[in-house]
Amino acid sequence: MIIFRKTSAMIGKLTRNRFNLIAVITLAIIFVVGAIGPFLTRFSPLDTNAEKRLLSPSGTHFFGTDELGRDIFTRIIYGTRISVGIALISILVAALIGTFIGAFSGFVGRWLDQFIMRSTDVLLAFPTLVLALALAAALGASMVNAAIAIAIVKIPVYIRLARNQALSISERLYVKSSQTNGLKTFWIVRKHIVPNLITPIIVQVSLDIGDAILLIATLGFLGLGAQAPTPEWGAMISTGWNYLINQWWYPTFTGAAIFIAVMAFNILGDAMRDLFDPKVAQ
Amino acid sequence: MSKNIVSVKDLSLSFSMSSGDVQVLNHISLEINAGEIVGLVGESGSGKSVTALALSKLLPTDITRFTSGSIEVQGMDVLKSKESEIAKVRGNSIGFVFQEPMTALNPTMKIGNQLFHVIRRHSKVDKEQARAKVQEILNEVMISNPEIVAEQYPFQLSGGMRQRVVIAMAMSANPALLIADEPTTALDVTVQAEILALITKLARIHNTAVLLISHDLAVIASTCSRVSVLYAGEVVESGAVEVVLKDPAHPYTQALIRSLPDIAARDSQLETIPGEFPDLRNRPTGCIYAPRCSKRVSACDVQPTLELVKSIAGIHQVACWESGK
Amino acid sequence: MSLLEVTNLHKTFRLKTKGKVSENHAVSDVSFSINQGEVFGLVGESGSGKTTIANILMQLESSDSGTIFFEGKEMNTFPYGDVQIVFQDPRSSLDPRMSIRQIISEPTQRLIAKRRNELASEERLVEIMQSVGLRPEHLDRKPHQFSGGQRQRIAIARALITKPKLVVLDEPTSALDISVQAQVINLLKKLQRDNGLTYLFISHNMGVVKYLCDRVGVLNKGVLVEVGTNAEIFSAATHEYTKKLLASVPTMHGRLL
Repeated sequence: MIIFRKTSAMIGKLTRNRFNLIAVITLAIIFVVGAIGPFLTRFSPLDTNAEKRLLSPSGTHFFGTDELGRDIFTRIIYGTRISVGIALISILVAALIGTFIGAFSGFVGRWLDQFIMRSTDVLLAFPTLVLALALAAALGASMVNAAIAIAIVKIPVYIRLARNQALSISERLYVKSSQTNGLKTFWIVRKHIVPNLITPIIVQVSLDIGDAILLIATLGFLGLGAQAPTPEWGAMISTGWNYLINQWWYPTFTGAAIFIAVMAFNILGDAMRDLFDPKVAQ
Repeated sequence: MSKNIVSVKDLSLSFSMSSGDVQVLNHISLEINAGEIVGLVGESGSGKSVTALALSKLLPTDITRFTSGSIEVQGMDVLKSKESEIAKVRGNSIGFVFQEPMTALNPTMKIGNQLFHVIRRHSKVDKEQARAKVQEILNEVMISNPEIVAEQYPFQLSGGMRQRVVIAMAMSANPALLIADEPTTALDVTVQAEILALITKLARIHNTAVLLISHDLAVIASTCSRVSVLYAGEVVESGAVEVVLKDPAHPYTQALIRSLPDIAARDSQLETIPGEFPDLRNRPTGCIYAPRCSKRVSACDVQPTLELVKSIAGIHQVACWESGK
Repeated sequence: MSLLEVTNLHKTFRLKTKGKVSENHAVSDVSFSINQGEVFGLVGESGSGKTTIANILMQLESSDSGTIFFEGKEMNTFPYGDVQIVFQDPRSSLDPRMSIRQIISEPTQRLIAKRRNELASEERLVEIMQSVGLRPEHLDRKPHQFSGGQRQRIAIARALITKPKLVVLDEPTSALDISVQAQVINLLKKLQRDNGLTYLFISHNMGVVKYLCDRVGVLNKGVLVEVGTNAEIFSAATHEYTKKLLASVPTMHGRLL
């Protein structure tokens, strides 16, 4: 109720900028596609049909068909759930775990904080993609493992972000007040620290989802994500790009889908950051 | 009759916020002459800091609207001046001292260096002369070992020392006007006394006009010769310090002084001002203080003007229909 | 009857800068006692140790040595809820994400359910809001909807929920406007009378201390240089530092005393 009103107010402020408006609309479309995708097409993403191989875009097959006769438009729609869905889940899980660890570390301090921060530093020293690849390969190629790999790669980001915020929040007098009343550490972290650092976390999540979509697609492209015949965007481009010259539609539309989704989330992330930045908000 | 440095006449300004236009200053007037220390006293929201910033056009241009009046500093029309003209004046003819010295000092630069650059910017002296001047002005602000301090960084100095450095910087170009906004609020009591004495001394030696802004009546009483009392963006009373603070004519000033515990009897209750601060987005017509005033009469539905009350010890003005009774 | 007695309190902070270890004797051999029902003032400038002493009493910091007696018994921790604190800054002493109701009742979190229901019942919350001059209808509002003075009242209400015997007030009015300060001081006086409270009033504002405090202790760089009654300190101070402190206070009508 209050949340609803606040969200609409937020969306109102966000969409004052034309770019942001386009991004929000695009995201709305993406979410709708993800939700009711199957109803938007009469084809199945897995239906192979040797006679319909590599047909160019037409009234029936908006984006053409692939080398196994499957409708690309359909596969992209179903793929939305996978690519965007996994991205959302991985980031949200990473944010949840990372935030609590970071908040706890920042509040408790001392050797625990040192230990956690040094470990985080080590993880953050690896290039994201390399680490994700290594993890996905080690865990075995599958959709679930790709999600896990991405979550693991992103957790340190949230640990560090939450911890730095927690350091200053811990010094605030309302936290000191709770301490004087003997409230337990977990209680303080849960009720005072985390709620007061949620804003930068939300901004980070918005920014990271775009990144995650790209990561999943990359993993899929390299065969480390969802396996055939699952219509994952990266995997589709992996086979598709071989056909680029003669059947341009095959990888192009999928690539466009990735591009649009990542852009929309990135713009949203920037808009969220501007929204919550006190100086810009003035 | 010393030279007039600051002349603010009938100044009004508002901020346009998303929630509406906030009338921050309403027809205020202020005069400061060379060598005078004039106080501006008020509580939060009174508009005192806004006045200080307005004098050198340091208010955010996108939301500030000057709706009436004029500001003249050393004959220069501030409101009509271009940013480039007024930028030359800042630091040169107008020196600033704010509440928090750390915001005026670069934490990564040595003190001597910072002063050196400020001096070079405002006067045509060569490096040697500038370096000598650094030592000279550090001496002037009663820093006992200027050679050592010049080599230190701000974080190595105490709050009082930092404020002395800021004052040195502000006075380095020998400005005609020094604006000090709560210069001692963040400092210890003993240090406060020293800083106020320093400002008084410098003003006397260099014949500088000083605008001292504070919420602390005692600070004003002990340092200023004249004072203007601000309430919700209006000057409700102004005049010589001995008169305004010892025998105030405006109900707000009277209430303010009576609410101080400094001389109240221990077994008595402190007097308080009923009601709340007015909403500056909807200024009531009539006297701005009337809703909270114990002496309110029907005449107060009309905005009172600043009237001459008594002529002892110079001009004493009050914006009140009931004053002097 | 002595409610609180502090003897030989020491606290030193060790700082390592550039390989050298420097010691800051924040509190050096401080001893004082506070009687039941009195307002004891602790004055001093920054670095005097007054905040450190408050932190030690509230167990936010540990002391290096010294004993504390509460109600005649030596103890390391006070009985739950008997000692509460009101901080200086009304902006950061209340969690901006919580409602006033949650903020005021928070100190009762650690109590057993029965006691918590007694102390933080709806009637009690309403009663406490009224006693600090706030409207009970506003219990579900958030801090940003209140002014500085009102927030300080909320902080005071929070301090009173556990029916404390001793309230430590760390510069409770220093961040407030003059007119608001008067209201809060009147409130503190009234609450003390109505609830039989004892105050440890920490401040650098001599005017307020002179008005409120029955006895005063003067701190200089961690050392308690003088302790005396209100009259003794303000009219007949003996220590050099106390005299210097009082002489530095700017006054409205000539000397403060």
